[in-house]
Amino acid sequence: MKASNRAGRPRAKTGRAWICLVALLLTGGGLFAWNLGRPKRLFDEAQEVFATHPERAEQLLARSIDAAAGDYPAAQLLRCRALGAAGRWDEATGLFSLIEDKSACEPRELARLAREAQRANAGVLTEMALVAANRPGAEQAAVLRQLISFEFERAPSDEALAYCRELARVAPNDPFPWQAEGRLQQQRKEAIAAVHAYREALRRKPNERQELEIRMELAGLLIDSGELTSAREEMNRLLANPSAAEAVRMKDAYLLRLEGRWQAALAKVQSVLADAPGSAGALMLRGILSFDRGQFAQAAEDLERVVAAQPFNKEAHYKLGQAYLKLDRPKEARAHLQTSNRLTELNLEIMALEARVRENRADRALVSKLAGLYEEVGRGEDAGRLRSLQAQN
Amino acid sequence: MAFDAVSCAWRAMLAAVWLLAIGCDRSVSQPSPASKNAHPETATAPAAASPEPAPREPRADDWFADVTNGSGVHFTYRNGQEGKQFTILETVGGGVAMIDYDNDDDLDLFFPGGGTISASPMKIGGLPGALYRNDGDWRFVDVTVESGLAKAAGYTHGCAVGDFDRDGFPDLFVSGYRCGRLYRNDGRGHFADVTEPAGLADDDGWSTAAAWADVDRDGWPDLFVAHYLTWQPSDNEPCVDNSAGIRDVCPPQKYPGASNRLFRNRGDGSFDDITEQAGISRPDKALGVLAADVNEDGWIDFYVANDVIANRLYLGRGELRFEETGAVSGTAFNEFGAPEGSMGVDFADYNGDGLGDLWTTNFEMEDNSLYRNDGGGLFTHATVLAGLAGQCRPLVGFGTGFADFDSNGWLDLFVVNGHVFYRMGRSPYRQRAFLFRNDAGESFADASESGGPYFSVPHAGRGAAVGDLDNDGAPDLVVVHQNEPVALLKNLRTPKHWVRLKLAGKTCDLDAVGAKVTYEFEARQLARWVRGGAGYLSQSDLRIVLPAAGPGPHAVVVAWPGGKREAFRDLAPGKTNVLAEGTGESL
Repeated sequence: MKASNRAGRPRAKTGRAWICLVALLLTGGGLFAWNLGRPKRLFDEAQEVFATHPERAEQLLARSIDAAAGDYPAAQLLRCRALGAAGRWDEATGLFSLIEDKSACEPRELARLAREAQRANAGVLTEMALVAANRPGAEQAAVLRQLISFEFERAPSDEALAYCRELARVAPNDPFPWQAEGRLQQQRKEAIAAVHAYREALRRKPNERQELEIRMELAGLLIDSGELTSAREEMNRLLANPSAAEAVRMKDAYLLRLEGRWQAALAKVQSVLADAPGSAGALMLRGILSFDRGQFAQAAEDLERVVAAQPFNKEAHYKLGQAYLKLDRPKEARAHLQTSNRLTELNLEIMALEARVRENRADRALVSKLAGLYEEVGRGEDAGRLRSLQAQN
Repeated sequence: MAFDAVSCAWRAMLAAVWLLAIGCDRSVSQPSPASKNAHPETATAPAAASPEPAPREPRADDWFADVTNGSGVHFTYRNGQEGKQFTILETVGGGVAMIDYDNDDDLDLFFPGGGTISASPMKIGGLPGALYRNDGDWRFVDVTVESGLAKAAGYTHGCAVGDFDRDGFPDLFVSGYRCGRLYRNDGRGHFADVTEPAGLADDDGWSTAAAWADVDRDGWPDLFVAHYLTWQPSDNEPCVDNSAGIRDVCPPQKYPGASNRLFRNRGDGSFDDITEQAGISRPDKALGVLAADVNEDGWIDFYVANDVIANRLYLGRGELRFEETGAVSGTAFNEFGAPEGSMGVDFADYNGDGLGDLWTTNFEMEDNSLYRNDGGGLFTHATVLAGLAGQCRPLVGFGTGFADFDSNGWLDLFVVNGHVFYRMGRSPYRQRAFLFRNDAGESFADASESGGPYFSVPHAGRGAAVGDLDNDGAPDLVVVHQNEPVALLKNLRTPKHWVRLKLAGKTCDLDAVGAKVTYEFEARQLARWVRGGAGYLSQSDLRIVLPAAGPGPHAVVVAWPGGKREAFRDLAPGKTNVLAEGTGESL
């Protein structure tokens, strides 16, 4: 027995050792497997609570990312959204920049983050997310539209034009990129390019609302470019709509004046004023038409109402000053002419500064100066938008 | 958790720093997507890029025939574009002077030559101009060498004709980049450079247009020299359109303006600079100038066409003082108070009310500006009212002038166009010229289609002069282009009856700049002025051609500068009548 016991002890020891080893291996393997699945589990758990408890989700995602040794793009992306939901957009921006392989993120999710960031005026993150989302696939057209809209919210730049052209390639039948390019070229005073873009947009069968917008822009552009015959063609198409909006009728009245049809222009303006008696645009045009006819007292009366409603309207100040000169009221004339001149100079300065800011958006001093100038000419909204963008950046 | 928060904050901070770095990098040096393939230095001028369209065939109803070929005039103004330095100097171009230098009662032609612009370091050189003697029947002979004008004075632009020494032979002022020159005509077919003894050499700025007129009513013509910008070759930074990848010349907004200069003729062959005293020393960006008695108070006034800033109306107040009244007269801006890029200028009564109206040609996306004179020193911007809005808006207007091309008593208009940017403009570098027919003073109609083959093709137009080169009573045109031969356009609408006047001042300058002629035609009173300067960098015919209903006799009333009025009767039709001050019937 003893001998057999002696002989059986090592065997038992060996067996226990084996059991321990197997148990250890199983535990280790289990732990390894458990750890391997932990980031995913934490991520899944975070997804479940994201809608109701974004802060809890953010904590889970942080652990998930740590568990994945800092490299878990889907979790990092969702954590950005969670941080954003908590109003921590700066952190979200920083975290997003640390995602090494953004191509591993779903374009749809990136676009969603961009939308949320855009709503919260987190400009840098919006742009980064959209740029990351812009890749061939089903989502690309939507992403490019979002990118273009985002660029338009800021001072449109060369990037916006490039995105318009990219979208035109990706979605060749979509009128949107051409309409956007038209607006962009118009803002840059590139009349020929803008007319071309609008015409391309019209060729792509826009919906009714879009078509109206495009034709309005096009008619205005053609008027500004001096192409009165083409402008008349567009205007007649717009007027074919029996419920032509005030803006259409006003544009038509301006065109009628340029065509030398004063009575028709006046009748059109009167029709607008009948519907909207305080319309500054209509009063301005009626003042101009009266001025044209040498009815300076009537012109001054209308233009006085315009400058009262729009104190930063440099054209109205100038025209009113001219009317006062004709009425032999030089003191009042000089005051309005000086105001007009000051506003004109400020606007020229703004145009020059806008070009510089487009080239160098990071120059805080420039942006701040531009915002200040906007305020001086009554463009408080633009100033606010600029300051807000500056704060985000 | 605490670690997590710290770690997150740390990462966010790092990211922020990284983002800042990225942002800075992108805003400064990273090319935009659209500009990745930009090769600005390879920008070329359209001359090499686009084939020239052929002009249309002549028609029986054409107003003008291009008679350059066979005329003996084969001159090309050179702006130095081939040096590819893209300087703003290249944009200005050249003009032409109609000058009867040999006093044989036909108009000869002088063209400033322009210059060259070379690189490393940038050097601006001059090219000689050319003088062509008019031998009649549209035959001209190059007399540059024998006239003494073959030597290049520098990089030149414009010219103005005036008899500064009152010897009866017209002298010549030539403007340019730091090279304004006065040439005295000795009456024997030779010109001598008298810039130094005349005291004009001190003006070493960039002069463009010029106008002769007697501002102090001492009988000696004084000289107004318009100046454009304060610019030198070292200022020539590259201006690049990143989105298109094109380098082009820089716009005038990049450079400060320069003071115009007014020189008083002392009557002994020399001049005093009275710019400060006259009150015209403010910096302008002048490309055009006109001298006339705009407000008819007896004193010469100057209207200055400025590029991108307000135009000036300097009213003469006597004692060599001028008052600037552009803004309060309504002649400084467009109809909504915005400054324009003005180039050419003229002054004439377009609507038959007896008052002289002002006209400027302007930059693209701006209408040319017609300022109707309402009297009392006030003008109305009448471009829209006169039907002149739109047609030229996409173009860049330069040479221009009022003239009664169809001899019906109503002054028509021509406008020569051409871009300043080789490729960065919104409209092409070469542009069509326009001809506007005056419809009874009410409005202007675009008659370019009937203008003739010249008007059917685009050119890089600059200076232009109007005058009766063949003495047939119909005003002809000479147009100067950039790096392209000049064009001589014969007016085919020859009137049956006409009267030509050459005024000879006694108390004012010999050319009587500022004099007003009134004349009855078809139960209307026509008013015409002798203008100094006007147009763009050019000198038009100083003589006045009037239409006539029949063979005559004809009579005119001349209001001489200073206000003295005289009637001249029994004027001979079909020839030049010299009206000397003091020889008419005082009124």
